[in-house]
Formats: sequence, C-alpha cells, structure tokens
Amino acid sequence: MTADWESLFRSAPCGLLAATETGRITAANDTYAQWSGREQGGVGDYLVDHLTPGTRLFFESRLMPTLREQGEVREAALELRRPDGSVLPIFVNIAVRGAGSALSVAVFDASSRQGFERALLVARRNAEDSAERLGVLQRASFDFASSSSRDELSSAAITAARRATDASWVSVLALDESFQLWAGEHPLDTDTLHLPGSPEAEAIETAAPVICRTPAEISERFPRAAEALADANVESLCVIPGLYEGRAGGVLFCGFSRPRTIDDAMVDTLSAIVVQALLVYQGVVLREELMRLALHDSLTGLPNRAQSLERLEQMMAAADRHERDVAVLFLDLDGFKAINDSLGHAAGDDVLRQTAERLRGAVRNGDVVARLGGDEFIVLCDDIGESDVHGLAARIQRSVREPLAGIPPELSVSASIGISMRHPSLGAVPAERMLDEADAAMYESKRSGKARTTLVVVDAT
Amino acid sequence: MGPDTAGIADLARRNHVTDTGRHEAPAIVFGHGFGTSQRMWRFVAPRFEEDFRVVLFDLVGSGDSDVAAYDRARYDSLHGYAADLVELLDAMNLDNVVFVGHSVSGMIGALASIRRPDLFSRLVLVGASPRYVNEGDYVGGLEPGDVDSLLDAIDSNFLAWADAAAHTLIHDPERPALTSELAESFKATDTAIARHFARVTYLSDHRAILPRVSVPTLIVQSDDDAVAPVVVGEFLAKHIPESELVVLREGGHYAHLVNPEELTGRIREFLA
Repeated sequence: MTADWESLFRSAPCGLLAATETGRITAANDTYAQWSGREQGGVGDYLVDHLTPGTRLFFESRLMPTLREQGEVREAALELRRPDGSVLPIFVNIAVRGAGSALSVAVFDASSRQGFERALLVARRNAEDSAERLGVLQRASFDFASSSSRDELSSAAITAARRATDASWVSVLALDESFQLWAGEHPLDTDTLHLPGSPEAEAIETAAPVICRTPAEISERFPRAAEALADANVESLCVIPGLYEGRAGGVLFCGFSRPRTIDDAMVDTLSAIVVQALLVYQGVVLREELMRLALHDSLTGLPNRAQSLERLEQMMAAADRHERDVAVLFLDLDGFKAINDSLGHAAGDDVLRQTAERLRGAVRNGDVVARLGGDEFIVLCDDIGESDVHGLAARIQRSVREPLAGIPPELSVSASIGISMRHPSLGAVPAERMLDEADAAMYESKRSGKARTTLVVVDAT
Repeated sequence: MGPDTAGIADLARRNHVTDTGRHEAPAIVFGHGFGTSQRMWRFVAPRFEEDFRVVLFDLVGSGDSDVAAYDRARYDSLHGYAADLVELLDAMNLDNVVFVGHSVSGMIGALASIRRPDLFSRLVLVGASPRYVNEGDYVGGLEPGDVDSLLDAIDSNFLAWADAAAHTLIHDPERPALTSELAESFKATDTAIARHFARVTYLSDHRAILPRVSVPTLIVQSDDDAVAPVVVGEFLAKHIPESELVVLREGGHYAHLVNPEELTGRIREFLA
C-alpha cells in the first residue's frame, strides 16, 4: 500500500473496519478508533460489543440475517457506546467480501442527523398514536349512535375496546345481584366476579379503574382470582367501571395474555368508550321503557289490551301448528264498584293491583294475565283441557275472594268468569272472536249471580 | 381425524408452509425467530430431507406469510402463535413431530407442546429465552430500557428495514410485479407488525410455564449469543424437566447460519 493510500485509509473522514464472517474486528482505521474511544479501534472485539444494547439487539435480530441473505446492509442507524459510557449515533454500511465472507464496514458520524430524525420520529409516532385513538373513538361513537339495543351497544363497546388495546379478552359486564355478561368473553365464571376480592368488585367499589400490569401484581392484589386468571393465560388486566345513575353499574374488562404497560392514554381511551356507551345506553333504556309503557298497563304492570291481543294471536298460531287447545278466561270483578264509590279511586286502584298480583299467583307457568281496562282482566292459556281450565277458574275464584289488605271485610270482591275454549279440530277462529265469546260468557255468569264461571266451546261456524 | 384439505390449503397460505423431504418419514418442523423468516433454516433444513419429512413455515406477520391474517389481539402474545402451530400440525395430520424453534419460536414450540403434548416427540430450542429482560436475580441479558431502544432502532431503520423486507417480495420471480404503491403499503404494515412483534417477543415472560413442558428437550445455546446468553440456556435446562443443554463454541444468535454443521450434528445426536 502506498503512503497516500495508507493515509487515506487511516484518516478517512469515516470509520473503516474489516471483520470476520461472525463480526470480529480484524482491522480498524484511526477515525474509528477515535470515534469508538478504543485503542486500535478494538481489534479482536466483536463489532456488536461496541453498540448500545438496543441497537445491538436490532443488529443481531434483523441486520445480521439480512446481511447473510443479501450480502450487504446500507444506512443502518446504530449507536456506538464508548467505554466512558457516552453514545455516538452512527450510520453503517456493511458489505460481505469474497469467499471467506469477511465483512467491510464503513461508519459515519450521524450525531446531529440522528438526533433530528429521532425527534421527527417521536413526533410522528405521537401523532399516529393520537390519530389512532381518535379513530377508535370516532368509530365507536358512530357505532354507538346506530345501536338500538343493549346488545348492539355492548358489542360496539367490545369492538372499540379491542381496537384500542389488542386485548385477548374483552367483556362488558353489568352488575345486578351478580355480574351478567352482556357481550364479549370473560376468562372466568362470571357468577363469582361480584364477590369481594375480584378486580371487577374492586372497580365497582372504588368507582375507579383497576390496573394490573404483571402476573405478580395480579397475585398480590387479587389472590383469590389469580389462579383462575393464570390458567386462562391472563397476565395483565384493566377493569373500567361504568357509572350509571350515579353508581357503578357495570364494568368493561380487558385481559391481556402478556404483561402490558397499560398507560394513561389507554385507560383514558377505554374510559371514554365507557362514558360514550353509557350516554347512548340511557337513550336505549328510555326507548325500551317507552315501548314497555305503550304495551303495558301502568297501574298493574300487566300487558294491556293491545299487547294481549297480539299475544293471543301468537298463542293461537302456535296452538294451530301443534294442534293444541286454547282457552281465554274473561274476568270481571263483582263488588268493585262499591269499593270505588265508598272508599275512593285510590282504594279501587289498590284492589286492582292486589287482584293482578293474585291472578299472577293463580295461573300456570306460561299463562298470560292481562288487564283490558276498568275491572276487567283476561287470562290466556295455551295447551289446556276443559277440566284443567275449570280447575284454574276455581283457583282464581278462591284467590280473588280472599280478604283484601286495607279493605274492610264487608267490601270483599269476587270474580265473574267467562271462558272461551277452542279445539283445533273445530277449525280456525280469529283471536278477536275468542275474546268476544269469553266476554259474552262472562255476562252469562254475571246474569246468573256472582262468582260464577261459564264455559263455551267456540267453533269456526 | 383425517386430513382436512381445505384447512391445509388455507393454513399453508397463511403460514407460507414448505413441505419437503420424505413424506412418509417422521416430521421435523422448523420455526424461525423475530425479524426473520423460514429462509434462516436454509443451511440446516436440507440436511434432514433424506430421512425426515421437513416442514418449514413463516410466523404470521413475518416472511411471506399472509399479512392480512395478522390480528393484533391474537398475536398480542405467543399463545396466538402457539395456537397457529397446533392448527397447522392438526391440519397436516402430523403428530410426534420434532420441533426445532429458533429464538422466539423456541417458546412458541414450548407453549404448543404444553397445549398438545401428543403432537410433539422432541423439542429443540436454539437460542431461546423465556424472558429477555433482567429481573431481580434473573439474568435475561437485557435491561428494560433496551427494549425501548430496540423499538427506536426499528423506527430509525424504517427505510432500511422495509427495503430489506420488500426486497425478497419484489425479487421473487414467482410473484407478479409489485407496484411501488403496493410495496410502500407493505413497508408500512411490515414496520407496524415488527414493532408489535418486538414488544410481544422481548417483553414476554414464560419462565413459569417451563416446568409444564413434558416433551424431551434439547437446548442449544452459543457462548457468544448476545440476545440469549448461556445463563439463559442454563435457566431453561434447570426448569424444563426432561432437558439437556449443549453450548456451541461459535454461532452467535444465528448458529443455524454461522455454524450449521455443528448444529445439525447436535440435533442428530439428540434424535438418535
């Protein structure tokens, strides 16, 4: 090598290295020796031992295989760690030479440039994270707004939470007596979650998010739940309580299959999802309540005339398909007017409520009790024979005659009952007609005295 | 259960499965590490083709796997990858396989073997680690901040990384030419997945599951491996019940690239 060439190699304005196939340094120029802070540039060392741990990990896991496969690596951004602990950002080009696969390495000082680029990257990453969170929330509010039921709303919350966290388990649980799973999947038996010592119970009690970032933290804070959670591979978790009508009424549960950082930004996003969902939930509850009111009698809570006709039609259609008998019991209270006249409407209302309660208690499972208005009630019975319907009428008679709370004994009531029965063999009958026939039979009972029952069998003619 | 042909086709595409060697012979399955692909086994896998059925695959999100199958919730832990491996072996109707996992695939194989011990006859863990980060008395080799610094390095090397990844795609003659637009979108996806996979790989802790590995296991560590130092191999050997440790004198984190002959010899001795 001529003196010129040698001086060019030694003091080139970049570090130059030769290394073995496995990255052991065999020659280094003065520039590299100076930049790396090592005598003779650390000949004999592995190049990776001169790097900061993070860039070394990157080198080992990514650059090294690429180098092997493609024969070169260009503009790799790495960091030299000097023996005094200071760090020099560098760009590196590496090429594989010749049959022995030895490495040629050029190193450039990138201090100012990498600092600048790092700042840009951090800014870009922050912007992307914010945009991502905003996107999740926007999408969630769109999905929430188009949800018209509790289930749709819960599923939308699950989707949003999953997008925000990549959690393995996401569930929406509502607290009643115990927790009920409204949507998603929960790793544990949800019947046990309301008991003290579960993350869910703590979130409800403190009305604050519960966060466990490692398995150790889970076992320390929730020893009772820890084993079952570990069995389901839950290694970190986050529970966000939802405040509804001033109290914590449910939770959003996120379980992760590895330790997770769970930073403030994630908790804020999840909390925002819960708050938005609950706002819409209030609207859904209100709408469901209005619907219920439209179909139910507000005094007794029983289905009203409109609802009972619909139920009767459904019942008769099903009975036709399966060739079953159907009966409609039409009740009118005897003695109700006297109570209303002497004790007032409030007492009358009370009698109607008590009577509704007794009817509910007297009928079979699956029978429908409804109030048509005034002191008129009906009972709809699917799959019932004549003797059973007589038995039911007798039960009702007995229970209605029992003394009423808050009403003097001399003002007791009884029931005049008319029953319309339909056998499938006698042909199809409209629901309306069943009601009319039962009504007429009830008048027959009334005419013949109080507390009577009259049964008519309706045929299609 | 007979082989499920439709399932095989889907999974073979998802994991870019390569199935070579002697079809009727016992199977040896190779899993690759973080940041790479099945091509890392190109000096080792062919050495088994004469007397084994040789199966290679890419983890979803890596190599030539189907990137669209990358569901972040599924792959937010190694359990998702372990479930993939079990699905794959079931679909191919393979059992009693020898699974050779490099780096992160070592733990993926361990998790899969706990889930379904019947599918595995032997495990070989090359440069594997149940936890990369030091904690208390445990030496994993990395400090917590090192992982952040790796994520920074992935970001800083966005272009170089993505080019290297796209290179193989673009230069594959069997693929239709990629438009530059498609290549760009591929690069962005690739980097996002790389960041996520880096977190999942380097921040996981699977020390607690080691005693539940019931399959005979060979642990191969290189004495100059910076990512998974020999003490980590010793930790694995101590906690996996039926295991033996061999330390290669040279190989770094890529014994299968640097020292394929010795690695192959050690695996064959273990299987003999």
